[in-house]
Amino acid sequence: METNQLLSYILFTPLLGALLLLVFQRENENEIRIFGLSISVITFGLTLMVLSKFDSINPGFQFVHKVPWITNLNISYHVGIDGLSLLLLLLTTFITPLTLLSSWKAINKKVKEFTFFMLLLEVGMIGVFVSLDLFLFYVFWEAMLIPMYFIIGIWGGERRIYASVKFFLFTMTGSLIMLVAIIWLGVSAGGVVGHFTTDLVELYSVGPALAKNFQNWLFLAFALSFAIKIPLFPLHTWLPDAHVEAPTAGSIILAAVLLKMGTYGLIRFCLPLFPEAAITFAPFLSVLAVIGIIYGALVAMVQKDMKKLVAYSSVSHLGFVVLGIFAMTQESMQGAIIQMVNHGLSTGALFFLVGVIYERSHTREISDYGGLAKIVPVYSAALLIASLSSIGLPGLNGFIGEFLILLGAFKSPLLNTWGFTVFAATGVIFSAVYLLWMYQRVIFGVVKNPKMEHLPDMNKREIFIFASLLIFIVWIGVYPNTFLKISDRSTARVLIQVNTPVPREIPK
Amino acid sequence: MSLELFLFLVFAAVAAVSGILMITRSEVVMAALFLILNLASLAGLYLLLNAQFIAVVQVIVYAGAIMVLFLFVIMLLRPEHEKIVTKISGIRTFAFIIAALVFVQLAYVILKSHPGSALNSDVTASVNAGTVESIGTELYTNYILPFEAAGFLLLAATIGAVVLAKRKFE
Amino acid sequence: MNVDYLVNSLYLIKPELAIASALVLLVLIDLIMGNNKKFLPYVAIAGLIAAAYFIIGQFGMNSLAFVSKSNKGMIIADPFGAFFKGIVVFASLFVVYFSIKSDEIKASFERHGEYYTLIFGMILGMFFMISASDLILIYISLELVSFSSYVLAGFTKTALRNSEAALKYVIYGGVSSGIMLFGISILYGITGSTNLYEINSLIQSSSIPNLTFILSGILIFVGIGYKISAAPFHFWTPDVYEGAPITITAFLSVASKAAGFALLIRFIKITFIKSVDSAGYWQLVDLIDWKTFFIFLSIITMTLGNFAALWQDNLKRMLAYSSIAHAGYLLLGMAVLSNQGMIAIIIYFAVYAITNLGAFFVVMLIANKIGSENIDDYKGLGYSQPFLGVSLAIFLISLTGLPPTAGFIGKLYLFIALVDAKMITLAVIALLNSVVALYYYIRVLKNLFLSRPANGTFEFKVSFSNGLVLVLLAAPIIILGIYFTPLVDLAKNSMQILGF
Repeated sequence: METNQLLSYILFTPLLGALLLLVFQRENENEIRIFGLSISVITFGLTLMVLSKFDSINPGFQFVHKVPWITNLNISYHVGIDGLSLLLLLLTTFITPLTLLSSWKAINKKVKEFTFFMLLLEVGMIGVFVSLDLFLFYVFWEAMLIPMYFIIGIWGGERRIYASVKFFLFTMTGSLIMLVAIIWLGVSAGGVVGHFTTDLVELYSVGPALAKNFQNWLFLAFALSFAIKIPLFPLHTWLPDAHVEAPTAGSIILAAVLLKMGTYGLIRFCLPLFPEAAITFAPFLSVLAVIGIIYGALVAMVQKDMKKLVAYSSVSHLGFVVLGIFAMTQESMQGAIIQMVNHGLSTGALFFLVGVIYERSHTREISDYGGLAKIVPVYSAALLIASLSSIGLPGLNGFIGEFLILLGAFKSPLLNTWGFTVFAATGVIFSAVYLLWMYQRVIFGVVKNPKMEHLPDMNKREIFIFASLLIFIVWIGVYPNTFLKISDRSTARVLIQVNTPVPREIPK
Repeated sequence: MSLELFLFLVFAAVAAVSGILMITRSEVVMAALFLILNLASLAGLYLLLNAQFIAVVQVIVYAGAIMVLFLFVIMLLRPEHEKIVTKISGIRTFAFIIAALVFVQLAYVILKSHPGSALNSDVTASVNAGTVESIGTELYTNYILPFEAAGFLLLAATIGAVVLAKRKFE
Repeated sequence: MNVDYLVNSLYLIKPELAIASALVLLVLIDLIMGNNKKFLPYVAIAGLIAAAYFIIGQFGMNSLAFVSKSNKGMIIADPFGAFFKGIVVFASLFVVYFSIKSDEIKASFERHGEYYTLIFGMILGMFFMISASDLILIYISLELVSFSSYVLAGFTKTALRNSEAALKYVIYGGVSSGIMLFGISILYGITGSTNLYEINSLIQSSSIPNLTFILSGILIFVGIGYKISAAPFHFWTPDVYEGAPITITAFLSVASKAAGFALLIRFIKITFIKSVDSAGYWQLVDLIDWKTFFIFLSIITMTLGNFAALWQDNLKRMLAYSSIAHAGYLLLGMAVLSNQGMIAIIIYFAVYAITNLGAFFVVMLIANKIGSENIDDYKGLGYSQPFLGVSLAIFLISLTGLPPTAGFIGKLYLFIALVDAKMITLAVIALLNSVVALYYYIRVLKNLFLSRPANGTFEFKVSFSNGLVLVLLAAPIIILGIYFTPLVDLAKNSMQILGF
């Protein structure tokens, strides 16, 4: 197996799997599930192979595979990864099999279509993280919307149609604006490299050379699209609806991976392509991030629906990531990256656990629960760990990310005030309040609802899923260096790209 | 005042007045008769422009054949006195204002453009060549393709008329 | 009188001759065979294939036909015309196939002879419209298309809405072609020529009254705008598209629009151009500010089409409004006034033709069975008829312009042309329009896949040949969405208009 084609194998395995799935009889639901699961496990295995061959000393793109595609526009099939994308790639391929496993029983209608869309979604997610060509990136970015639309719309809750349409329209608006920006950038490339191009490596030299006001517009266009996806306050309104209505598997994927695409985009595109603009807008976006942290936490506190609470906690946590990115120090950026992974694991785990209990009792209202500790002890323990990890208890993963971000933001010469750190830190406290309060109401106290008394505890499959997440939750919490090391050089490179002044080649 | 201008004014006035009378009559036969008058005065205008052939065609085809057909249909169908809508509703006023505006606009533009100052001096030549002979030559040489295309247009129109005439509501 | 030039010219209009002969043949066969109408579609297909063969030959040509001492030429044989004629023939082939399968058309079996003859009348008119270089021929061809389509729009005699559609079509069509004729006469009055090339050289070399010129240009545009259903000349479109038989709706929305756009591009480019600069931008004669004109027209057209489509419950009517919106997008390509914009229009049109034909075909197959075009009656179709559902989904996604479908490529090239011309605001307006469009297209998708089917509504089988045709239309949309180099090469080649 050629090393440089490894990424393409990862990318096309789920696609091939999805196509092969079409020949299955729809009645053989179990075979379909097993097939889908094995495809995603194989993909994960391939990603581990990439990990083993990855050279973390090299700051550049590795496993690069470039094939000319549309020669008229100099568009090529260009994939490659650095430390940042590797971490997110690992997260994606790790979470996908777990979500398929988690929906083993929950999805019992149209299993074939569900597995098909999940595999397509995985192709899209992997594609977004490995593309080194903006056109290719955009195709994956948009193509991913369609499976997600159907996952929410077909297998979702009561108001699923409203939620899926809202999700589609919001993200579509953002991405169309990005499309214009991509084209604009590609056309401007004519003045620097002499031809239209969407190749990211080439564009890294084009973007910084643009005049300041062009950079500003382009930065805003890209940032808007990413901010909707993250979602950054005040563009977050689609998120609670989508999360609440999506099936458990959809929520996990949405929280764990899809939201990361926005923050990934900021680091991969917004900062290095438009450094001057990024520096100009950094304080502004950091303010939005901090507002998001506090707002998300406060709104989460008053939620009556467990899933909605977790959804709003995502707004808060992603605020930390954005703050980390725009503080633009090595620590904060590393913190942001590790926090992306953390959020994927912790919030993924929380959504999963909410799903587990919902499957049994068919309610997500916090007030319907109470006294679960005695009825389902294993579940109670799992929920506790997941909550603590999300809160950021030292020794678990959340702490590392938030600590690094706060530290970096405090030291940041760009933000140049400790105000951001102080306000962001209150978010940590609030998160302890809302999560522990929810925990208290659900797990302790007396059993209010007699129906709840006979709830079965987590079964082996569910324990396995949680245990897999738990390993990494603890691993990152205890020895984060394994992961920090991977992205260290790539982060440093991005920061160099942002801070290196580039001589202007285009006057206007 | 030259005779030409005098004749022009007469024909133009008759055309305009008969046009207005035509659309305001409640009696269908009267309207048709005013249409004939209108078409005939247009033929006079064509003559003044040295377009003899078109003038003759106008009289034979429009004022003659087509109008006979009209009257024939009217007589066969014997329509009752059509009610003319006399109430000037808002939309009619609006339409009238728009029409007046368009008229003023067109008149202004055309008067501004110094009639008779065409770029191509052939215009006068072609006007002088309004005879049957020259039109025939043009049609069968330079304009043979549009002529043939017009043939197909007539064929399509005939077939269309057949389709429409044969239609019955079940 | 030398007749050599006539004979030589005939070689240059072989596609037109093929269509004209097929038309005459159709009339004769209908007369001879009496009630045996089975052969008619096959004669039609044979005629179209012959025309297609000659059209391929025209991709290599670049000359004027019917040139004489006093006339610079009536009709042009060039790659640009060949491309649009190709689109017309492509659409016609499918429409003839649709007609064989359509229950609506089957019902008026005894008049199939007239039906196919009139379709060929339209095709012939469109061919002339696409390649004419003389205002007289342009006007006659426009009327030929219009007359045939008036009758075809009201062809199925039973439906009342059919007659209403036809009547509206006649009235709007009559008025706009009258206005156009008036414009042509003014243009002839001030230039003394009806030949586009001659008018071009005349207005470049001498000063002419500006105001009159603008007037005549705009009056002529009314006729063209009516054919491409640009706002504010679009009022007939929804009614006619909804009322006409689906086969004719599909034909009008693709072929008629193709001919209209070809005429528009040719009219603007040949008549007004001074030169094309090295970056491909057109320097126009400084008489009419076409750029501003097209900018406003495209904004109005696409916004109006998209917003009106939001409220439609009838899928045919919705597609009618969406086709107005697409005319708006295509006009964006005109507003750029560059070769790049022209390439974008050509690419967009090729994609639009395939997609729209496909969408109407699915609508027709479903209407054949359930007798309704109402979007709410499509609930759950995706489950009972996954094949039809998925195909319709592909067509709608392509009309929206999402990757990885060909519709995205069309939009991509339009946006590239706009951004290259530094018309970013216009690009942003266009993309906001796409979001609106997305909303009404996914409303259909929603009914197809997210709603529960009513019991037993869709119990029928799609025949093998229909399935094959559907695949023939759906597959290129995906394939061209992923690998579109051939399409771009074709567009670059088809951009050549004789003389520029």
